[in-house]
Amino acid sequence: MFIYWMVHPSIMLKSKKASLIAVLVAACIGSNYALLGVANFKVMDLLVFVSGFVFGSTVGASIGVLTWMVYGVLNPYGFVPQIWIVTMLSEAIYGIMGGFLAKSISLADYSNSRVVVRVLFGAAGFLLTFIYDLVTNVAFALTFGIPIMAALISGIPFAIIHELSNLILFGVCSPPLISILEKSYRGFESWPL
Amino acid sequence: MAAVKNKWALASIIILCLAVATTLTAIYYYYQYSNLVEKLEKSKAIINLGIDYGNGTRIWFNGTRGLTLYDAMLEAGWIVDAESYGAMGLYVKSINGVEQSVEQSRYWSWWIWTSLGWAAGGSACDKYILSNGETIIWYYSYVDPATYKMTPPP
Repeated sequence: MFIYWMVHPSIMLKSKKASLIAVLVAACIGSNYALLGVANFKVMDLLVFVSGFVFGSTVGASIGVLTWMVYGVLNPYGFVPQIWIVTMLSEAIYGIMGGFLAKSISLADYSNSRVVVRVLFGAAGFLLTFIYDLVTNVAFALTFGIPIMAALISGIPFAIIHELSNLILFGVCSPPLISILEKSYRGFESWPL
Repeated sequence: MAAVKNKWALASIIILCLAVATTLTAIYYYYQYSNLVEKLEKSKAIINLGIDYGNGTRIWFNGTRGLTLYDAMLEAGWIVDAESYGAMGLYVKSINGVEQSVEQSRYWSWWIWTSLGWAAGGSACDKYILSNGETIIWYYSYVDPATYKMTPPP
């Protein structure tokens, strides 16, 4: 019975999924701490997006929320409950949109037009980061009683770095990461490297 | 996804990203510029500016604002004809239609009031940063052709 439980395909898949999710959350948290010194450059957004793309919106969003749940509390820049909640929910956008994009396109159809998909991923990264920055900057302004416009304008240089870095990261790294995760999870790649 | 196959849709997405980036940059620099102008406006000094045509006519423009002496002259509504000497600044040749005269050896020079009396300005008018409360006069001064010594205002 125990052996059946261990080797049954659906159980295997679930445990594989759970361990992959755990690895992704750990990678998100680890990369956040590793990149503390680099202002507004985060690999986490890409990992959450890719998770959503491979495992679906719910899992992707959960990875974003779980990451911020840990990183937000043990944040070297300080813990502010209001901002923590907003960043948790905002990070989920990457996962949700990753899942939505996966349902909308099939990478197999674009094996001959990789540039197009890379451009699409890059643009998705840019626009999602724009929304993320907008929401978190508004939350920051409301929390600390700063005029919203002043907070938004003073945050523009940081937002642009964040958005452009995500544009490049999403465009360059999404397809290979998706391939690796799909291969690990499903055993096949819809985007062969 | 049909949008990905449609080149125009893809181009629109790229243009949207560019539009967002350029709009953000434009807003940021516009704000920086406005902020700088506001700060400069606040840092303008209020001085007593005068002009002496060397013929007994002396007019004061008290409460004139400016960052540099040249700013204050323009703020006072003077018509100034000056020639730029690069890093050295502007050389004033004519004020309000009164031009310098090589034949009569009369030139425009600016003087600042000190506890010891009038002291000649040490730099070009556009290089001199004003301080609040200063009293400065432009004098159509006689310059001794032999010694190049300027006559101070009376």
